[in-house]
Amino acid sequence: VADDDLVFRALADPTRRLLLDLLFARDGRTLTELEQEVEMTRFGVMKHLRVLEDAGLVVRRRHGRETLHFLNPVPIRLVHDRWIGKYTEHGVAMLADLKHDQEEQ
Amino acid sequence: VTTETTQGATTAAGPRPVQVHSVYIKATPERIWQAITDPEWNGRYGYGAPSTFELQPGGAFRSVPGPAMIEGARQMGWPLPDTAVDGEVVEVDPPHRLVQTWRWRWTRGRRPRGSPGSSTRSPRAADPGSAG
Repeated sequence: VADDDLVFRALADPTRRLLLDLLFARDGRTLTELEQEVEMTRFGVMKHLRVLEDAGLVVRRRHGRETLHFLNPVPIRLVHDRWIGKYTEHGVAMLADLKHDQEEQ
Repeated sequence: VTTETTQGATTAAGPRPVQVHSVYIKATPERIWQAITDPEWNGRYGYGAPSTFELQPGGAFRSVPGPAMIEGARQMGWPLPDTAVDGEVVEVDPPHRLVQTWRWRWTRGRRPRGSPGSSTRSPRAADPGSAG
């Protein structure tokens, strides 16, 4: 399976996107911490984390007795680079910034 | 390549990782090692500041801003010191593992930020069967 397929499949699920949102808000969480934020069994959360790991979107690190989960945004940047070129980046970012600004108000 | 950034006091479990980034690259570990440690190469990536490493434990690390970075900082009104980032080489195992500390010297007219971080870069051969 190509890298991109794993990334798109991993992102095509609302629970997995929520797990990435949680790590984006605060990186380096344990399974127990993540489980408390999601309405799902521990086993279910583990399965979703596994899919995210296989896609390279989540990286695990042991720290003492804990296993911490980290958001790895590099595959998302590679998707970005596939369709947003050096010369279109500014124009695209301008519209994205405009949207973020206006929707915050 | 995996970069792992740690920060804060060393506990019994070692310093706590705060950020882990990872990417598979179709290249030999030797080439990646050179791209990370040779200023001719590493100045092309990131902020565009060529970095020199004394590749032995206790050796100096220093990152010197390139012309584009100096000009950009000048336009924003941030004076840049000759050395943008400095630190110490902690562990060297070519071409697999490089551990260093670093400290930003680049601040808006204030003294350098006090809290140093450290970073581990580990180019590794891809596992057989894994993508890329």
